[in-house]
Amino acid sequence: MHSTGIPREAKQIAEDIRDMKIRGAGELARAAVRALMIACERSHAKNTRDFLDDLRIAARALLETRPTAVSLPNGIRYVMHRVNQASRTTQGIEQLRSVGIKAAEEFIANSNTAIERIGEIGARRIKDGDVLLTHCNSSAAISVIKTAWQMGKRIHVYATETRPRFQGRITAGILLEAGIPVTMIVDSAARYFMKDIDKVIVGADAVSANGAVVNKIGTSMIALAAKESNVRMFVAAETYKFSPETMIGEVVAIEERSTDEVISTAELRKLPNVEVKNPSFDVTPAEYIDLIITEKGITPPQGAILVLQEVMGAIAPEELEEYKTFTLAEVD
Amino acid sequence: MSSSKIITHVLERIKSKEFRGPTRVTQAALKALNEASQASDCRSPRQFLEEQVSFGDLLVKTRPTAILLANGVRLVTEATKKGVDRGLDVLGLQDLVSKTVDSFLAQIHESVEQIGEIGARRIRSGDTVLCYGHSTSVLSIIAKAQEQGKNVKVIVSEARPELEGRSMAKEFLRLNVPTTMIIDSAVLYFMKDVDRVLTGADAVTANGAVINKIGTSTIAAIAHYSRVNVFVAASIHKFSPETMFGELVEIEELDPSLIIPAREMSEFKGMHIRNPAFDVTPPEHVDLVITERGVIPPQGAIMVLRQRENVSLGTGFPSS
Repeated sequence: MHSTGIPREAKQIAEDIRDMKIRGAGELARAAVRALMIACERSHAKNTRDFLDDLRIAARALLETRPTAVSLPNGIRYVMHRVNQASRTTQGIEQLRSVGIKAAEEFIANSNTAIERIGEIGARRIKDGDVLLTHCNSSAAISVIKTAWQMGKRIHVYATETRPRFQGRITAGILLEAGIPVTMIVDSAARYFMKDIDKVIVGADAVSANGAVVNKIGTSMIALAAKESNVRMFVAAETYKFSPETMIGEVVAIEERSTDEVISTAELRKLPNVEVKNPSFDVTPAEYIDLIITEKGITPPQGAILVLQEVMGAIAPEELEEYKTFTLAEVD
Repeated sequence: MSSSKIITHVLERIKSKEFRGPTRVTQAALKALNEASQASDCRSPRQFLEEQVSFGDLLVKTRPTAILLANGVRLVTEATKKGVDRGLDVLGLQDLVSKTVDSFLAQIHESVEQIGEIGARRIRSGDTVLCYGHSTSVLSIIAKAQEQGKNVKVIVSEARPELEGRSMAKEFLRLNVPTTMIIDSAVLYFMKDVDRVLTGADAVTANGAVINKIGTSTIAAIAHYSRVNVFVAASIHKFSPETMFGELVEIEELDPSLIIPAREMSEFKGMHIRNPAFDVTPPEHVDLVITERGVIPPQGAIMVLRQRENVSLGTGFPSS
């Protein structure tokens, strides 16, 4: 077997991902796809099989970085699926190379404009005078809110502080800077204020095949409170947040994070009867979500499977097996 | 110490959150009201009553939502008023106040014991109980369940912003109860491991709604949705008579710096902060209320309110 091995630049990207120098779901995906593109460009393979091996080795290295976001394996799959398909109809290395590079460029370009597109589409669903509630810190949700404000809609936003890491404060800062009125509340006060809320808008860390949304812990509770008060719940998520392996029955595993985010180790030592549990995400069932705003348009959560198929192509189960997400983790 | 100093001192201690939960606050406040009455240098019964009423107002204003405190203070000032009408002199009034306060404090103490006994019977061995907010009665129930030999585990939610979950965890340490601590946003995530939800109450209204630490209504809704029973431990003295006449229980807003520390507020110019200390759990999300007189459905509150001897159908409290 002749293999070029991983080009140095691609290896560097994998290391940067592992060392958390690259953050955010979109950035992670774009970086991984860039690394694959480099592997395509630099491959010295003389036949199809070796070329594909070069790519697979690079893909492996990128996937094994650590528990991560769904976007990263989705980016890799996007490229690998198209290259694999092309390899069934052509034996030309240069043709495969150009398919790979083109797919990578497409993915990166789409991903760069995805947040903006989501903002435009989602903002049309926000009315002048709406009071919105958001949770955690989602660029997609913030894009919808800011775009609505820029369109001249006078909205007001309730931001939950979002324990344990208080990511709601980041959201508040961004919105305040744009001139948007913000009220901050503790997470458990969402139901208390729900009658004053017109719409809930959150992001997603992953969307599964049945339309359930995996997002920051606490989202499912807000969803329940919204449903109880007949308040609409919108999820803003790029298409590469949709998790194809859930189509073959895989469950998105959820990261448990360090207990000192909840209570300091020093204080915990004074409480030997106490065990701390700190899951990062929870799952909101599809029936609590009114619609998902993607860069390709709005879909009901139950339409997730269509989105998956359209964007990723008809991916065979073996291909899904090959590029699994492992455990979903916080990447910000 | 002068009467006003005694009151000022206890007000400071209450404001500094030294006392967790409405029962402890009420005990401290009434003891201070008694001490202040004994130390009073008022010459006439009318003056004595006026002074006591103004002290009572100050105490109740520190915790407008804690009906136990309002009821206790009202009990004392009404006894004093009756004493004045009967022609007692200041010494006689002081004696009356002392007896009234002692009697009420004894009732509170008894109620905590009885609620513990009755509530413990509703806990089964092996139960995992989710406890929210700081409650003397909840601790009593868990303690009695332990005494009865039931292996109980508790889950405490931290209860931002005042983090009462941590003070409860300390109490559970004293009782040697295995405890899991989670953040408030994780309650739904763990609800499938919960057998019972148990909270105290700051107030119970005429239609059976329960007012308790912010977040309680969310947890009760989740429990209801998940088919987990919600038990509220509340002495009959926490039932609010004013709500029989349409008054709303005032929901206290806490210091916003509990959510964003004052020194960090400059990074959030123009941001509003809302920090309601309590919320309202509708009766349909409460399975039963455990009182010292027994278990009642939340809608039984109206019966308790009408039967209770010390209900005054007067102007309500505070008197101003």
